[in-house]
Amino acid sequence: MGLSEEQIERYSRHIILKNVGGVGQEKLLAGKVLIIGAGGLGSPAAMYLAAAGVGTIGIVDFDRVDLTNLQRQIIHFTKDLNKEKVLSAKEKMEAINPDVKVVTHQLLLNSTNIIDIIKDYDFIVDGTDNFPIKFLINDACVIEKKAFSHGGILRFEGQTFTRTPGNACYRCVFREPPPKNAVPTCSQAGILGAVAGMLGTIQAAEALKYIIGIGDLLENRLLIFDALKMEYRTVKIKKSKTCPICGDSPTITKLIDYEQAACDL
Amino acid sequence: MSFYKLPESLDSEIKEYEKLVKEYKAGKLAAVKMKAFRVPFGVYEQREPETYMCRIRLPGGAITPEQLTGVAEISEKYTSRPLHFTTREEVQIHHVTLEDTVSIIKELKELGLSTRGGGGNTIRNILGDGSSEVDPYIQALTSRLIAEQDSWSLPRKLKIAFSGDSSDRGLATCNDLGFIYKPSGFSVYIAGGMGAKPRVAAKLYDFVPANQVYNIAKAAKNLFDKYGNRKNKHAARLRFLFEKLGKGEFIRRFEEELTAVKKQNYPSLAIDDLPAQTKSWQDVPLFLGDLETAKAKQLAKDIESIRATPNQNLKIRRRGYISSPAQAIDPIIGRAIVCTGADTCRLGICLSRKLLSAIKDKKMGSSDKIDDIKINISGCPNSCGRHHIADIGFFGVAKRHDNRPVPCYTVVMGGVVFEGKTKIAEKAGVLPAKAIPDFVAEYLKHVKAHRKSGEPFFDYYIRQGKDEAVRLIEKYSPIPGFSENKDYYFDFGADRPFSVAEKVEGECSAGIYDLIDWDFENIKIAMANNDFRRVVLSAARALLVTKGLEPKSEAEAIVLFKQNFIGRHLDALFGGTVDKYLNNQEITLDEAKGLASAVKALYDSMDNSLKFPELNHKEVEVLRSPRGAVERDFRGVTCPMNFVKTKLVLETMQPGEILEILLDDGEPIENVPASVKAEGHKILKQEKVAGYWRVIIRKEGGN
Repeated sequence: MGLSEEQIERYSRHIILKNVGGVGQEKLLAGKVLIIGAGGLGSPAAMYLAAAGVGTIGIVDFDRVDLTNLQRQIIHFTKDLNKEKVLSAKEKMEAINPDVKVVTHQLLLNSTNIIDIIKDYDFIVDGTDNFPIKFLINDACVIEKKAFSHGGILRFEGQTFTRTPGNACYRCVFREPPPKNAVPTCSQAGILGAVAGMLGTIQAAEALKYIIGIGDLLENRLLIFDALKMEYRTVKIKKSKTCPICGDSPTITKLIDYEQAACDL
Repeated sequence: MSFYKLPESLDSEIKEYEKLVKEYKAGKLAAVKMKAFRVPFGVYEQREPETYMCRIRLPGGAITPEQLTGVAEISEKYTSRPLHFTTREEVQIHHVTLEDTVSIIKELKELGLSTRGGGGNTIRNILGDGSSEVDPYIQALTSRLIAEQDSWSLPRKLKIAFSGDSSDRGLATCNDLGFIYKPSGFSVYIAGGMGAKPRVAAKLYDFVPANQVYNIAKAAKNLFDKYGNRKNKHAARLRFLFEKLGKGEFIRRFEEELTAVKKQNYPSLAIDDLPAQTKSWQDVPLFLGDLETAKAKQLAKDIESIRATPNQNLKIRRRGYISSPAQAIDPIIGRAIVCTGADTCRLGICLSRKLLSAIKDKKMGSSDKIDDIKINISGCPNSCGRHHIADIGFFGVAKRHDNRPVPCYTVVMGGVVFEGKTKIAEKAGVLPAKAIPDFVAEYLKHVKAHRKSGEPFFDYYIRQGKDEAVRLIEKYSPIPGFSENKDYYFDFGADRPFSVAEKVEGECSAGIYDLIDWDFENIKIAMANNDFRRVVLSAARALLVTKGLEPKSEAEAIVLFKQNFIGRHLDALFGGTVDKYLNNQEITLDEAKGLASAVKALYDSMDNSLKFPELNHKEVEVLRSPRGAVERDFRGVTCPMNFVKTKLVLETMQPGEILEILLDDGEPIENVPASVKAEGHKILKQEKVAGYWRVIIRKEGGN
């Protein structure tokens, strides 16, 4: 494939890295990442992945930019109010790096369309903030054998792990979505904008590592941080034999649309 | 009262020093930057890391009794160590913290004393012999020179000395610039010095009027500043310039400077005539230059005036007519000059002070006291112990025996200082440190038996020559094997076997040269004996010490040599020769000779920081893959893009293939090879071609 002079310069700080080099950069340029949700997590993830030169980035979001988003969803600007989030995000990603091909998916994901959308990507970044869709993404990725990064944030806290085929999935740990309204959403509980940035950036780093094939992913480990105390810890999670989706005898054989709690991440 | 005038800039310089010390302690200043400011301020780090000493300027060794009391009191506040008087007539406060040096310097200033110029490339303390003819000149010249900013940034140190008469007790005939008093003027000597390459000063003028002292000193300083070698500190002193230019050209250029200086019409030095002294000096010998602070304070109470002498001793004029010798001390020991050695000096090879103690113990036990002989000892070839001007001098060197380094001293004899007669002591041989006390005892016994009554040692030595000493050195020089007598492998008072490898990182490499020379000596001997295995071993081992490697066995020496020299500094074909050694195969004359001369040639091309050139282009071609070297010109490509591009090319290559790149001087050559190396590839060679560099890289496995 070979890098152009401009690319060599643009990606020089990657190429210098011992584990990356020109070879790693070429992997990134050939890589395809889907970001689900152009919100608090998706914004930093999208910007870093685009800047890094991930060749194809898909972005899924049904919503339009709202004034309450701008406190944390840094890919959108005030001038973008009321614009489709996927279009706003595409403009910014292409502006930071014209090498990147951005594919927009302005839709609500459900059990009928998700497989079609994820199947063309190498890695999926879950930047959503409601349980029904998180379970849907998990199940779809398990079925399609896709690697993905789970991410969740609330108030000052965040959690994330990376699932690759053969390792613990979201359902190995959390069998079912919690009852409706048991866990508050961002709109009810609030979120420190920078916490979204911290977590989304971790997810971007996991995606990059996965594509280049370096380092240790957050597999079978749940990273939890508390920005108030500014403490990070990882909790071991185990692949469960009785997991209803990835266990020895799965009970879930088709995707489920749980009842969706409305949230604007 | 004080003797010299502190420069006005001292206050701001102390402030700057204090600021740098704070930054350094806060981790904001690199050690090397701290050192660059600290040393010219007369603050040296001692052998124990983060332990410092302050060297206080005492021109002509002059210090008032009040100042002596003050220095003792300051010292007591910060350390329990005694004051130390040096061979350059300074006084030192030892073993203090870096923070404390700031307070010490400030307190010294209140006493009218300064450490400024105690070290570094500066006008060092001016030596004198305590005579009233030269003292006023020393003080006035000091006050003038230390107020000139360019006195702090010379190519190397500049040492000036004065003597009141031809007996030259101020050592004017072996300093960079020397003045010997003649009625109403001076004779002038230039370009002398000791160190590892000593030289007796050349006579510049038979007589100059006294009002020319400043002009001559200024001209010498300007000459040195202009033409001195700033690049190589080992060949920087004024005497190297003298040798490089030759006497005629040197003097011509000196006079050029002098004419220029005279045109400036500088005022001549303001000389306050001291009242003629009726009392003579009384010697106070110090053991190794040390004086406990309590004794210093006591001494200060009883005296009218005091001078430090170049023998690390004091001389005093008492108040009234009390005559009592200060201390009973063996005259030889009291007269001896011994540097601090490896005890506290970072340059030291041997523990010189402990050798003197051992000689003293041996001599005390014998009845063959000979009191007028001067024994000087330096712990390394730098002649802080003034071994070059001793009757019997020793300087520390390292030798190798039984595959281990042994503390040894080179013995030099017959040195003398006297106007017109000054002579550097001649080399008589080398002795293991542990054999020296016995050698000294037996030699002195011999001298006593053969010397005419009243005959000075130097005359005796001229008459007898060094034969007897050489015979005794031969008797005492054999070193027993390690298992036979481990004692020889430990320096006096040391609890660990002697080692020099750790000193590679230090400031001086003198001990290393000795070890290397020893191996080359071994090569010659082995060659003469047709012992080609030994030739190969010695050749392989000779240069290891330059890389801080100290093999414990012969096989290890060979292996380390292979790893560190073959293919890097020496052609790969020599690998076969050393493999033959390891496999116990026969080595031919040609092979032994070839390796020995290649190693010798490599040694000759070694630079002053003990670095060798990497393999040259022609030899690298042998290592080229059949595909040939890939070539890229990255001149004009800035950092880090030059490395980025280098890396990208390497990624397209197979392990073992050769890449040849061209890089600009400066940042590119400083960074790219190191980065390539960090990636795991091998730099086979880098060479400067005109204004740019050619770097040859061997791609290693992986990316």
